[in-house]
Amino acid sequence: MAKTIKLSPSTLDITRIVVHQIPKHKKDQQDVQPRYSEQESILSDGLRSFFKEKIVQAFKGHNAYKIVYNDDSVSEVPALIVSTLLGNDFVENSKSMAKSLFGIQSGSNSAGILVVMYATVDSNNSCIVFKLEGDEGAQLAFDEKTKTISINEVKDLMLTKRTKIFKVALFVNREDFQCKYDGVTVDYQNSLKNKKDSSSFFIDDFLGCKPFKDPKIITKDFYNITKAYINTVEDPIKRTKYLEDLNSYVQKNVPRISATEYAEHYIAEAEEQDAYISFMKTKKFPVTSFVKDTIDIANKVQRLTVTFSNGISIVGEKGSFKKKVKLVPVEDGQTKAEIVSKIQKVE
Amino acid sequence: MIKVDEIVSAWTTDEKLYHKLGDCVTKFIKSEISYYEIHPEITFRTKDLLSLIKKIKKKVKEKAYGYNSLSDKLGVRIICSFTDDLDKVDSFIHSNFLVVNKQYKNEEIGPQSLGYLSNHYDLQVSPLHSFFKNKSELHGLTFELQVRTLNQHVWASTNHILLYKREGAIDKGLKRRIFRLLALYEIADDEFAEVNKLLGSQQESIAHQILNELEGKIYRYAKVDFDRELALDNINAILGYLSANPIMKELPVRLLEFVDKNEAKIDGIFEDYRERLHEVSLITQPEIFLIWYALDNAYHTLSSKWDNDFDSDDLELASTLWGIDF
Repeated sequence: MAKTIKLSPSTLDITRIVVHQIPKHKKDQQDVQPRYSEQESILSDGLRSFFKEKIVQAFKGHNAYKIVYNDDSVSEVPALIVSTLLGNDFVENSKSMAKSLFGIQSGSNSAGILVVMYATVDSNNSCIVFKLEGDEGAQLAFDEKTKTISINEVKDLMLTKRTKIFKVALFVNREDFQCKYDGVTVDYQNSLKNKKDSSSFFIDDFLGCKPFKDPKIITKDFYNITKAYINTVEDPIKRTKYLEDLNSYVQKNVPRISATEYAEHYIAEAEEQDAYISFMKTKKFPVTSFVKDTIDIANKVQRLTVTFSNGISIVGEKGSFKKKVKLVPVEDGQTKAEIVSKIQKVE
Repeated sequence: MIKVDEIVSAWTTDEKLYHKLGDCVTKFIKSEISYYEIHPEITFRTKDLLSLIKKIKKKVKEKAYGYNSLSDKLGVRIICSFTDDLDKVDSFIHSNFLVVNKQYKNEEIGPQSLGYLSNHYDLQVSPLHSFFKNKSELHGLTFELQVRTLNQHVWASTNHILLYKREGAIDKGLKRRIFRLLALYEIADDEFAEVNKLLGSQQESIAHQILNELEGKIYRYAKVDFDRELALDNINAILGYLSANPIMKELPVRLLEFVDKNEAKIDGIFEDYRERLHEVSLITQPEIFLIWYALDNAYHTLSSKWDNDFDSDDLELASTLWGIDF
């Protein structure tokens, strides 16, 4: 049976850390190169705690999701991660990761700092990779004597410039957790910028990974389980609203969606948001994000049908119901539906 | 005839060792007795030279007695809130020390004798115990441990000053008054224990029920005392947020199950922050368990109202420490 990855500052122990600088550059620009640390950085207890808390914070919320190495990817990074997880060539592997990142970045990618950690989660080996980026992100001092970039400066950058960890991935050995995935990741900026494209530069191109669950299947499951929850809601008007909102939500122009986000955006009362999340958990559905693919539910989400007990049904096209049909509760649990429009066709 | 010079010389050497023993034993008890979900006051003292010599002089008149006969060169004292705690401490002692001798003095004392006395133990650290195994210099040293309630302590302190060694000379009238006083102390202890039990079993506010249940837990994990008034205010505020949430109906039973189920995780958090509790003072209050429970089961309800009474950084911290499961 699969073991849960329990990630918290007390289960996470960072044992090794190394930092590399990845400058902004144009494709084929030869005069700009990454600056590699030749050695790992020394971590004081205070720094260790700082990074542990920041990493856990990055994974909190609903944006994290499970990933697997993509066999079709040309990225070298999965092999470097596997080698690192086995305890081999930590610094060299991290340099190769930095080189790989630099190699695939183009002028549109921000400069940044790549941090690689060898860690344990609940005493099981783990490799953590994160990228800090921003306009001023790549201006860190390099100690020529130790050939390292100061990890203290990375901390300062995160504190003074309020640079958050937006792209992070944590990898484990499948055998340790008896699981079928290789890690978890968060790429906040992907959901903000590349709204149309579900592929992520950091996760797909650099890390060579793909979502653990088939987006078609998980999207269909999400839709069906959420619909099952909606059917438990007593108020029929609310049920109609929630279902129409669900249809709109899964068709939003974003690469990833989540049950938590649906709850926060479309369910008004906090208590009901919790009830929905609790329902999803009892159905073993993850409440963190997943990459969506609506192909298998396309027919369902395009229109909404409300059928009344008197035999009358109202069918609304995508997104039109809320605007064009007024539902009002009347006596004895009945609902009055009001449509103001011209009758176009009767058949 | 005792040789004072030899005693002085021996004690000058040994006193440091016994002090180390006292320090070590006290730290161990303070840390480990929290697993019994109590938070007694624990102190130690090494005997001062003068009273050590006087005791030997006194005892030597009764029997063969010397420096090595003294079992209270180090005295450790545990003062408990309630008589029920004495049994817990007794169980703790037998589980963790070598008991050379023990006296449950109140069981031994006759009805006509004056006294309201604590439990006394002559103990040694066990060379096999993981905490003491590597402290070989402390092995074989005997020390005295007194365990008493607060009332026994008050009685012992007052009695020591007023009446010690004067029992035979006290006239009947005065003796009668002392018995009356003594009875008050004993009755007070019994009543405290009984009232404490009744308070626990009575229908009281859910906030008080939760605080009562979590009190032992915070001793167990944080191993420090907490601010009761603050705890009650905070618990009341959080329960106010949860009032319309179905999880309210399950409190405090589900909350306690949650704490027990997550024992290893909670232990890990406290061990990780043991030396830095001042940075995360929120987790030294019993309401932290309620916060973690609500984060797991009613996150949106809690977070939507948290800012009404608390700093949002505190929720962020509580949430980070609790972590995330994948």
